Amino acid sequence: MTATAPAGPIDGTRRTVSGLERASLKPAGIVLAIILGLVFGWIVLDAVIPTPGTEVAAGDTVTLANQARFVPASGWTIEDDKSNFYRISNSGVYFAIQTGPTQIDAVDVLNNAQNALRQSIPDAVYSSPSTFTTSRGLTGVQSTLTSAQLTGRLVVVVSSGVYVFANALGPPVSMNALGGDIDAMFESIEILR
Amino acid sequence: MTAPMYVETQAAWGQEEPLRQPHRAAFWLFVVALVFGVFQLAAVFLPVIGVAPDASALALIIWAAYAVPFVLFIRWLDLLEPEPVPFIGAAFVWGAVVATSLAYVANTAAGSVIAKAGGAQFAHDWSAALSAPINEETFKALGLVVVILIARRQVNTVLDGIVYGAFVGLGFQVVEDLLYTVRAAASAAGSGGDPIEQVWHYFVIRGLESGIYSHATFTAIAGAGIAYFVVRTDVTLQHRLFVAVALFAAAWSLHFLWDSPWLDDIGSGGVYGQIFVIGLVKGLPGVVLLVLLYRFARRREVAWFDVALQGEEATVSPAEVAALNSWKTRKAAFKAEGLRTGRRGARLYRQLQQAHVRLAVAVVRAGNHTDPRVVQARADVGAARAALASVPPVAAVPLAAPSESAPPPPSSG
Repeated sequence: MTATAPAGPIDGTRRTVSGLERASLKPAGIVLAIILGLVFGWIVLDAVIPTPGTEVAAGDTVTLANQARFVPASGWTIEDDKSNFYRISNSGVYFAIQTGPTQIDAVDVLNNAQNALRQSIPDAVYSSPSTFTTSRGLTGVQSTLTSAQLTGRLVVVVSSGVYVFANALGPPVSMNALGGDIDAMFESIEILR
Repeated sequence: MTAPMYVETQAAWGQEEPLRQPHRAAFWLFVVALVFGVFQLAAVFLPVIGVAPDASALALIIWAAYAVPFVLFIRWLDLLEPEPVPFIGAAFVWGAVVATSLAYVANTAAGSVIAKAGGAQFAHDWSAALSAPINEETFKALGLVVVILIARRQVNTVLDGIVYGAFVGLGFQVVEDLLYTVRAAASAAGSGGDPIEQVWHYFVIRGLESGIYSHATFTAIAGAGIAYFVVRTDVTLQHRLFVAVALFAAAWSLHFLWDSPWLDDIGSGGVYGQIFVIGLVKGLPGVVLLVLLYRFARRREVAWFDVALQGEEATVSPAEVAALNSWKTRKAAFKAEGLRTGRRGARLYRQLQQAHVRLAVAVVRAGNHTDPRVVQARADVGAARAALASVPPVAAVPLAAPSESAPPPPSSG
């Protein structure tokens, strides 16, 4: 009716291996096997499964409609490669960038983009626009979005009647892991004059 | 006379166990996993903390403070046999350091695998819903398993499983939220944005929106199943396995539902109204299930408590035992004492109740009624009772004119 009392401290009669209770080895080994199996299982699968589509090669630079340029992160998959629109993906994260002529300022472009995104991500909260500076010193505005399932970042740069709108959007885990790539892509944006 | 209820803890009442059990492999597994986790988290955190140190400090303070009411609440749920702090701490640390770091590695690889196998859009919509439950629920549940393997006697009831599971989940939740917040703050700071605003956004979305529906709830549910498997040796192995697997599957499914894009377009009344409705619809089933499991587990723990105090009737009356069985009955007895002897008496009565609980725990820990710890706890009950008896009943409030003298107080008996 009642459970058998489990082992207590070593009393001299319990069998040990290198100071460890023999009976404790198997369950701990099973736990360790599950941990290693899960971690390395995904890593091995990731290494074995080839990336479908075309990957961005190291050193690639993308020019959009002869108006803007940026450096995509190598290893990402190219999803769209049009004249004024370029989109790549990695682990469920999309990084998209587009350019075109505009008469409105960067904040208004950003507002339009947020309004468009509200249709597909209704529970997203946006940070207020703040100044964004590229590595070449070009200034624009940026905003982040946070929802229960997705996080993202929007950047708009406007100069000489040309806008560049770039955004990264994906599950928090992947956005977090790819944060370095994403930051570098945003910072590489430049407008060609 | 009714048949005695099966009480899970009877055979495990032998003695207290320390967390440090170097003769058990699980202890060293815990240590090694902890060292790995510390290095892994350091590698993730250190590069970003320096970018936005003020925001990182604020995030640390906010998320640490956020954990406090949850800790108090979980401890409050653990009414009758509070779990030892070292084991509670170990469960929290496993969730905070080990499970998060393992999940970070596994989720990153899993996201890539899902994108390669299912395409970018599928991964965009579903990778969190698929990878997070598989990896995170497994790593968190293993924390409870490791605690049990280190010291089996600490998990005596299904309620213990809920409590330890909740602490594992809470640790995971806090560090995961901290990681996201610090990363977002660093990203904002690095490009001229406002890192402090990021901290508040993440706190609202991840803390206030998904707080009670999140990891602590999921892992508490899985923990109930694991504890059921371990302690309910009065039922068949198949039955215990079924319950453990079913509750793990429930935790998995609830996590899947939470991370899935399903139902994200419901709700109205602005973004925060929408967030509230989505959280309610997707998160409430888990909370309801946990409440049901808690009620079931608590009923059994009350039986455990009653058995523990059998043989102590001379020290704790049956009415006093009954009064200890829930916060409601405790409060009612406390209030009744307050009416009888005033605030001081009520306070002393609470101390008497705490002495009763310590006596029950001492009996459980010692496994008999003659151990010096039990004798000491019994003496503490006597001292608390004597102190309470020294408080005279409050004088009745005179209903007549103030000029009339109040009736003399009744004898304290």
